[in-house]
Amino acid sequence: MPIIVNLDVLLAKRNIKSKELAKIINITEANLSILKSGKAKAIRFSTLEAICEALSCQPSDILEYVKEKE
Amino acid sequence: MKKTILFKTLIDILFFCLCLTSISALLVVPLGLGSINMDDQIVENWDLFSILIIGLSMISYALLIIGIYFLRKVARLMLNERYFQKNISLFLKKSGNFLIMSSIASILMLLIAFAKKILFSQTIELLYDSDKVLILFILIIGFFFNIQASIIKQSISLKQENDLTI
Repeated sequence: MPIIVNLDVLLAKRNIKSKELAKIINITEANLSILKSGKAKAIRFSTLEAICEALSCQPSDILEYVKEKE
Repeated sequence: MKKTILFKTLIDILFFCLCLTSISALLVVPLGLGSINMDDQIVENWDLFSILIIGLSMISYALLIIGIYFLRKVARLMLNERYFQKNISLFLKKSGNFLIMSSIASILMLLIAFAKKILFSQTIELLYDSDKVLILFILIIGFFFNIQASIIKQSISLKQENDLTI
């Protein structure tokens, strides 16, 4: 998938654990893991908003577009 | 009683009835315990037409049993009420394909029986038989199962997408 989720990088920068973030944004750790690993097919605006609020960042900090090699 | 349990029970009854009929036919016919009548034509001389008719009839029946067997598998998987499974789609498609093949074999058999009547009886009779409509119904059900299998396949992919939306 050409959309990369940089959530683990942000978490490391902010020194926040996945468990804590999951608790703050009110999603399960399993779902956060899916999001972090890039296995997620889509992300809801409400989830993105909650992550941005919790980590004080912009959506562009979390999501990145990388063109796939043909 | 839950609908799925009732569905499975009915399919089981149908499957065992079909098996019982085929077993009894296999025992009765070779032993000569009963006469074979096809569309009111008593078979006395085993000509090509008669062999084709009985052959197609047996093939059609066997295909119907296989189709119902796969439907039984679908009913068994549906018991836990998790309908979006790959196997349900696969078995439903197989069941549909076998039902379509069975009805096509039946239609061919009827056409050959009709051709035999024209060739040997010299007279043409056009009779409406409600039993023949069942063949058309089985053909429609076969196509419906095929379409339903595609719908379930699409649903599985949509469910997967929904489950992976965080």
